[in-house]
Amino acid sequence: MSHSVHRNLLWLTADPASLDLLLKDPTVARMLAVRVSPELAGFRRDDQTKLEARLTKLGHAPAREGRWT
Amino acid sequence: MDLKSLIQRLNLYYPTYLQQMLEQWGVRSNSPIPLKNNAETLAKILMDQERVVAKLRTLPPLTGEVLHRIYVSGPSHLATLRLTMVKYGHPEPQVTEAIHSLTNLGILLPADAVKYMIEPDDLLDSGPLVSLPPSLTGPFSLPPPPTEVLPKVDPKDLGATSLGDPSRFANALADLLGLTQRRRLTLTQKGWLNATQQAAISKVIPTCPMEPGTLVHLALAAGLLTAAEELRPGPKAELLAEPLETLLHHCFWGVLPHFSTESRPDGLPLSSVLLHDLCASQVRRLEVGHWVSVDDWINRMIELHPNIGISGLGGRRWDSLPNLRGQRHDLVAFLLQICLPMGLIDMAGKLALPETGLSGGYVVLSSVRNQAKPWVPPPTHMAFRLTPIGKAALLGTAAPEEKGASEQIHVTPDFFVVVPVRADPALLLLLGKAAISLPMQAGDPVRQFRLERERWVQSLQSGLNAQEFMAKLEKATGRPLPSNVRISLEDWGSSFGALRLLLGQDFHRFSSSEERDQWVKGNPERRAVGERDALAPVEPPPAKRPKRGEPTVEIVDYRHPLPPCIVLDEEGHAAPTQNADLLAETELNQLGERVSKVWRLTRGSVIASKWTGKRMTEWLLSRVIDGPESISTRILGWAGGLGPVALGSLELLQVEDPKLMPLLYTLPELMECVVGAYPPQLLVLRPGSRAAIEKVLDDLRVSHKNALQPVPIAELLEAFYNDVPSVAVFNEEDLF
Repeated sequence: MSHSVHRNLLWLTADPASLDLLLKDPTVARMLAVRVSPELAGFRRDDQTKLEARLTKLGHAPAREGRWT
Repeated sequence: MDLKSLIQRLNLYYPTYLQQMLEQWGVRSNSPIPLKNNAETLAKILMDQERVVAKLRTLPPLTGEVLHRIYVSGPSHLATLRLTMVKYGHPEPQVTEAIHSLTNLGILLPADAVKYMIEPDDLLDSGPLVSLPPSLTGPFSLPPPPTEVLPKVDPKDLGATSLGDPSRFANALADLLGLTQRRRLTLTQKGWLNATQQAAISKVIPTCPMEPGTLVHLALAAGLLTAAEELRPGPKAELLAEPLETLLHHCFWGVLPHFSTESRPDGLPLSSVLLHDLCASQVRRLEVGHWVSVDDWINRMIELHPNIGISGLGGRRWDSLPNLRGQRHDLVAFLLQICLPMGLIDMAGKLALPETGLSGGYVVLSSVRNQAKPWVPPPTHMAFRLTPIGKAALLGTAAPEEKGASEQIHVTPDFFVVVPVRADPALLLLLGKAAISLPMQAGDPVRQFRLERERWVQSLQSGLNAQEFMAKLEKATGRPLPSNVRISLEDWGSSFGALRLLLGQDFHRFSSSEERDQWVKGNPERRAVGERDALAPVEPPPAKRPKRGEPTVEIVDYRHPLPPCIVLDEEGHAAPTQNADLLAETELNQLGERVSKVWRLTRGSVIASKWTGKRMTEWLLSRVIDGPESISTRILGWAGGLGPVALGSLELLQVEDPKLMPLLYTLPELMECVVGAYPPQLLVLRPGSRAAIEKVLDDLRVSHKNALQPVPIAELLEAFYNDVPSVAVFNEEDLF
């Protein structure tokens, strides 16, 4: 039995087709840290500003949920 | 050509001739002396497309054919133009009259810089080179050419019918342009697509109505694509948004000059400008919906131009059997491989190309058409008819609207859209973008599309307006969409682009889904994701040590440097360790090719990852557990991290007895020529100082003719890396 907690990653969630399309963008793809499921992709916290700017430029400004502690 | 250059060109006419031309346009001058601004007045008239076309409508239809010929083939000599028109079956006196009426109006413009007026005699010798005014260099509506009447046949006698589908062709072009933006497509040096790229296009466009190579060449010739280093959308890409008949018009006529013997697209063997042009000119004269036999049409083409399609005689008489076979083959290929896939015509019968010229395996050198028993080709048993959109595309006019089609359009609750093949082409194009087009059977009177989530989201991504689409579909069907279809489309649409960025969440990974489910159960803030993972707000780590049987919690914080967790072997196989972090797999996916549970990092895969040398250096140092250094160096080199190096040679002075080396340091004239040392035996000399050193050594009576003894470079390097102080490299300041 094991349980690992992965902290200080930010998570982008969308329907699989939209996420697929966004991850085809080379800039977003370069920042991708992990794709854990079709609807969920993880990015480094340090990339948050760059990621949000890129998504906004692509016409899909993400809505933020939660906050960093 | 702009107004200014048009005025310059018109100024080449004799002033009196210019005045006569203006009179033809109803502009009269009271002055007996030709005015200087006559050229400007005429130029303004010729720039006005509406006025020019209105005038053309008052002229005999043959003038339209003359202009069309120049529109298609570019500037021509008058005599060539006249000869071509006569070859196309038009009576000579009428052709001459039509050309004259155009030159008298200035609609045929001289391209030579000589002052002249066009005389009737010009039509007999080579004559001036003429071109069209700017108002007629794009698609324009001309008086319809005289209708060609061929015997009507009944297609039922021939069997199955294949309906031309222009929207399928347009969708294939749109998909091709989309593909070029996602994937790198290039042409070979000879201008062809290689087999891999053809296969890729066939896979992405399974309903492509023609060979991938033909589609690409059509798109290139029409300006929809450009081919520099790779295929990219071209200057005319916006044509895809134009009415279907405009797109077809450009694709069909725009490619004509490209059908030379040098650049033949796939599937169009032995085509020539003449064959394509003459065939098109005759097809567009047919009556819409009038089924004609392919054999009758072939005979009519040969009657108009007996050696049409016979480009090279190859030492044979033009009417030898191989040539005649080739001629029939090419005439049918024009219908089957160009007109039908583009959706300009419908065809009936068993669609097959006749044998080509040399496929019979023998060559008859004697004339067969003039023999006592002339060659009688087997009938093709095929017929075709011009479609309304085909006629519009070939004439450059707008397609007539189909009436009553809306009654036959249905959207079913199981997400199928059933549309008659002759429905509004704009609607078919829209459906082709938003839904999956299902394969058709020959002769099907309807087309079927299936609305699917993935395609729907893709079309939204490419700019489709969901509400507009649903409104158009409802208007076309004349009734509301089934409620489940509307709700689903709205649902798919609403989820599209709804991106959420979750901050301050911990990602929990368990060894099984059962463990995860148990952990998540009863706590609404914990959300199950993926197979065995969960997201939850950040919680402080448990203060107590876990009891026996409870899982130990390992915390990986991605704000801190992560421990190395990738093992690399000498052959470039890499694998994450048991407790690797989440990033390892993504990094390896980017850098290598997965083979079972390991990744293989090769030169190609590392280059393809586009990682920079700096990033690779950091990765190798921070992520890879100490492994063989040679592969790390190679990987770094593949990523461009080794940087440029320079190759050169050194001059060395070797002392036989190491103990004498310090003595040499005491000689300033010698040390002036020394820039470094590899103690205990080697001195590195300044480049170009050999002669000076030899002089110093000769003065000292030191022999320097001995060969250099092998230097233990490996030991010296090892000593260097181990910081052994016996190795020294001097700067000039250190030496003096």
